[in-house]
Amino acid sequence: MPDHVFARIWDLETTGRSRLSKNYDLFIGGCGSDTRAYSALRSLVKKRTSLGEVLLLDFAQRSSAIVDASERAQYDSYESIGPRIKVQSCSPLESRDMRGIGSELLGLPSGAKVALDISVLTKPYIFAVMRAISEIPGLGFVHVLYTEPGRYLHTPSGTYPFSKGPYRVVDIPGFAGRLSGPKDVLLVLLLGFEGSASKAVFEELTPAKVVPVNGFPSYLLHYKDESIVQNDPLFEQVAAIEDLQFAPAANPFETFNVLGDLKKEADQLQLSLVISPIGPKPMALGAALFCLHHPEARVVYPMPASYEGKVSTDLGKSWLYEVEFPTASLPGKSSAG
Amino acid sequence: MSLRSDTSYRNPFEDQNALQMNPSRVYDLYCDPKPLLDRGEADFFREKAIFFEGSRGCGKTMVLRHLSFEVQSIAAKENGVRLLDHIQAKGGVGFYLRIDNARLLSFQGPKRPRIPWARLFEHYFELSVATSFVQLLQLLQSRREIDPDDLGRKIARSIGDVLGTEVPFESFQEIDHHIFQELRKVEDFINLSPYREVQFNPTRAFRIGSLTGELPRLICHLVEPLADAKFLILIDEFENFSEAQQRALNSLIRSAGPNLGFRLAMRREGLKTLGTTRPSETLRANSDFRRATFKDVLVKEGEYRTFLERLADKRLARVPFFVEAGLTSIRKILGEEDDEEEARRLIERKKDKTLHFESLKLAYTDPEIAKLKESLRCPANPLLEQLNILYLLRGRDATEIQRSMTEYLRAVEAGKRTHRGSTAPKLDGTKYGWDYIHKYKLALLFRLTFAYKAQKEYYGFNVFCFLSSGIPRNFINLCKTAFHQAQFTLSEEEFKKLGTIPPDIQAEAARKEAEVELTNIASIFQFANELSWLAKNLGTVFAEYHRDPYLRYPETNTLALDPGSLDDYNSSVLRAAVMNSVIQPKRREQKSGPGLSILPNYTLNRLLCPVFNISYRTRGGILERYSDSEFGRMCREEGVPPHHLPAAYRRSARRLAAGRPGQVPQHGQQSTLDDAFETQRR
Amino acid sequence: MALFMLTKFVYLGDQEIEYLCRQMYRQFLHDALESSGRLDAADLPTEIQRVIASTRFYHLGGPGESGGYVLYLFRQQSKIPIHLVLNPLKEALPASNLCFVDDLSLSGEQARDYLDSLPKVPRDRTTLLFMAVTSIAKDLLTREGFKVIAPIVIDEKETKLGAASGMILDCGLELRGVATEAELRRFAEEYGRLAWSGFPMGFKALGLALGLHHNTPDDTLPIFWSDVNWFPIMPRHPKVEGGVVPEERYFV
Repeated sequence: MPDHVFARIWDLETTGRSRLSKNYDLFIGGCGSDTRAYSALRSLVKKRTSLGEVLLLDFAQRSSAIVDASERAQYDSYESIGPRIKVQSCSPLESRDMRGIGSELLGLPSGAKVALDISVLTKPYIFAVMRAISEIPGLGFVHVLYTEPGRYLHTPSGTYPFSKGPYRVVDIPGFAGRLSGPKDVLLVLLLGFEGSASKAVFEELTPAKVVPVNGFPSYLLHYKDESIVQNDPLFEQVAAIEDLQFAPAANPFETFNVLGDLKKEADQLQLSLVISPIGPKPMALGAALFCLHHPEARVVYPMPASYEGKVSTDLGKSWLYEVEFPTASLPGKSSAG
Repeated sequence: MSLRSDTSYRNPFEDQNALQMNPSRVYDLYCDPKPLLDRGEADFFREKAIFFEGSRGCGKTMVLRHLSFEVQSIAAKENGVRLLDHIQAKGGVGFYLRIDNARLLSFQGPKRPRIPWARLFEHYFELSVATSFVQLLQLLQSRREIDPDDLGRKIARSIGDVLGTEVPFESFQEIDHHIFQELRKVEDFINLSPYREVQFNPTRAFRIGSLTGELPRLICHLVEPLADAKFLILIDEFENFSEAQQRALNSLIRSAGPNLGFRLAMRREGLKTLGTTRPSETLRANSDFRRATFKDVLVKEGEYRTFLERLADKRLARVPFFVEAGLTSIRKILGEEDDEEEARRLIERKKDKTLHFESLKLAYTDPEIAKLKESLRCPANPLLEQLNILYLLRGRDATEIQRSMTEYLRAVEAGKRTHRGSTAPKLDGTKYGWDYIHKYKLALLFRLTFAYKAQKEYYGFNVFCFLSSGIPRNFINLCKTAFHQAQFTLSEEEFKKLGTIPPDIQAEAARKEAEVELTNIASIFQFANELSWLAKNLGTVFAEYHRDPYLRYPETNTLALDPGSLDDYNSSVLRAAVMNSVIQPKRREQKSGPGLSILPNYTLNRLLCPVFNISYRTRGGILERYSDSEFGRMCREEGVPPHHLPAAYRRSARRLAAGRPGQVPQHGQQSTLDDAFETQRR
Repeated sequence: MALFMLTKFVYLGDQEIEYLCRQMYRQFLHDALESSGRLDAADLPTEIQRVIASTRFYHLGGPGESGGYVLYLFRQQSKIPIHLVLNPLKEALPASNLCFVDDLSLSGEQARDYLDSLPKVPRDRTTLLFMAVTSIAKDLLTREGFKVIAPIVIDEKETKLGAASGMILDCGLELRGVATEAELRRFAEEYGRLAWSGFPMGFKALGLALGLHHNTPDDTLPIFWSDVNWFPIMPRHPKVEGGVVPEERYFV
């Protein structure tokens, strides 16, 4: 089980374009009213990429939060992209039953090519879909696509309410870690812009040690400071800023590597590793990949009371991540059977 | 302290959460919570089941962890006795178990008929407790109190029989490994079942009580010093258990044998059911269990203050910096409040030192006020000036007031010069003295702060005790922040020389903690919005009473409610408010006013007082009394204006509430309410 | 307004700079392997050794400039053997791959001019490695035939007090009780003019709010770094040009 991986990341504006496959057996993405929601799918269709099946996850609570007509139009615009788009309704607040997605994947042939656009998936679903994909036999790798937001939307007071609390901290299904490990916890917080969410996680887990990981370099230059400022409620309570680590916000593999180092530290200190992916989605992807290789790591997430409809505008850079799954069975896949 | 950090200095109150402390720290800092509970530590080991109920931070976790074998083993070592003998002497020992809410929710997986999640939870619970038993046995073995080749092997084999293994166990390590493997099966099932159909095949499936019932009996039988010992299952945050999960535990409690006991810690209103897994069977209070409720709002009780003092002094005594400096008394470091001095400090900072006389405009003209100022000023004690203003507004004669004040000041002067004793004139011997000292002094200080648009300073050991609102962790947090502020404001030498933390630093800390508490209310999982508005609206209403220039009802900060009159929704909100200590029930019900019936009383969490600039004491007099619909409005933005202030005043309050609900004018902000008064005439 | 601007200043401290050096190295490797088609090779460590061994590392600019300082940090963080780190002014450029290291390239002109001054830099085998570049600088240097790699690419919309700069918020500053957008620009420009009349919004009017722990670039708004009329909150250490030696006092 690797503690470090080499980055397989390409800028889709330049070198990444040639790296994309000419065909994918399955494309999975999400519905959303952000400008970037269908950007990757549109690009693939424009390139005349052959797509066997397209599955979009429609998050019910997010959809119902939309009141603006133009946002609604943007949300529904997937209908005009191309044929054979299957929409699966799911709850962003609930991902305990993923068998529906699993069934889409089980029908795939061995060596199938899968593309996954995580741009507007909720983070629990990034984990859940990655887990479901990892169960496909003979799958060598999956192409994960991500489009950065041009910028995030915020309130006049300078907060970024992507969701509304209060928060209920839950285990992400499939990533509950070990029941039998050390009781004391090393909590790794992948910092986002919602300070009350990270504080909720901290108060729920009462960890022996907290290591915040800041997305740096960030999408925009000043975002690396925003995440520190927005997490002030947490840093007031615990002197974790001294242990701050970095991982590029758009590079999941570096997050994987940082977690590898922290796992070693946790083992040395006899602590259980618990990760909370509150920050950028590529970092959550890196954490998901890490946890698939290290099932003893636990992933908790602060489920909000509700999600906002649109949280970003414009388009930023687009990335291709080539994520490899081991051909041998992943640990924990079938020992309960 | 300067930015160069001294290795011996650290904030004695840095770790305030018992969950994060190691066993040594728990042992070091533990204080018998007898002042907070009806009974103390002596009872904790021997009873069958105790349900510890109390707010967050009241000390429940500390009590449970103290009972655990990890902490008791340190106690045994400190006393130079064997752990076995220590357990025998105490009568029992505990196994601490805290399952975080996220983990508990994992056992409420996807709804599928063939997965009995409740049964899976029971199985997991039994294995977790069994793990703790094995850990105790391993500890005893490591201390050579159990011989691994003789008694150890015997116990291991017996436990193996209970666990249902085919090959007998020879050591505790083998048992540990077996349980580890069984727990892995549970883990894998939980992790895989969201993605596909999986089967769960443990070596043996354990129902509730199958291990927890057998293991104590077995160990008591085989280990002679433990023959009469009680093994306590210590469950923390029981309020997080689902109803089904609580029922499982209740069943265990109901059927427990003499060697098994339970200590459950939970928030108020955290017990969802007394039922068990058997239909129509319930736990019986005082028979199956006893409730031990941590008292809240101990305003006057000296025992609580002594408890806090002991708690704090223990922490100070463990930091070399404070020991070396002789600063090991929290009472001395925080000092006592001095209202007169605070009033003088407040006015000293102001250009116009008679601004508080402006409220006389309610009843007097400007020339009259100028004349009154001359005769009724007392720059050495602005609070007396404020009392004089109050008397004037109430229609007393100015000459009479001046005479009373002079008499009082003479008594004060005489008191300074004579020794204490029966010959010393009583300061409160006159109505003026009595009113000042016993009735109005603190209220006058609040009035003064409103007149100058300043904030009351909350400082001093007694005040911090009040603000803690009966919750020890609040007190620790207040101290933590005060020491933290002091660290960055004073040099080490200054601190040592002063021997105290100055009032303004303490006041800043109190304000900060109050704001954090208000923010925390917005993070409460259930009814966050309602509870936020309730706190803000109550604080605003009470602030209006404090701002009343006539001080009709000084220091009003209590409300009365009939829970029975609330609809289901409001009842749930009230329960959540109590459970999360947003409001706290007072122990004694009292009348909410003359001629009114007795109702349960509640106070706003005292820790919030600095946000609203209100008193932390309990006074008699009037209470705010809410009907069902009014309570509902108090939990929403609209609020309800103070009932007992005149209509004209109410109109102003409504304007205030409509414009900026829940906001209290900050320092320097214009108060629309004081403005309203300035335009009124009696 | 000044305080608001200060809260939006992006400062890269020593820890962040060290981290950027590590990221520069990793991106350099990724690009080198990608370009040579060796990213999918079975034995990556060997490939990485090959890439490093065939590359020579130089500082961009003179020895006393920031490039030299950054190259030092870069070498420490990447653990590149010292014999691969050379002085471009002293040694003839070899036939292998070249890599020039510096902290920032914000207009691209300074880097271009410096490289033009060196004899025979093989552009097709030369990588320019920065901590941060603007998209403007990257485009310019790429057009010149160089490969440009930087962990931080500052998009044009983040410059010149643009919409994504953090300085101008899409909600309107007036809603935060600060100022209108026009007032903020005027404020920055007026103070900037006192400091540097030629470029009141910083060099090439880039209008950045960026500083590093070792220096503040002159592309950053002069209101932050100028010491003409006030004590600067983010001091800048400019290069002393010309033959005049600054006066020093010596205590004998």
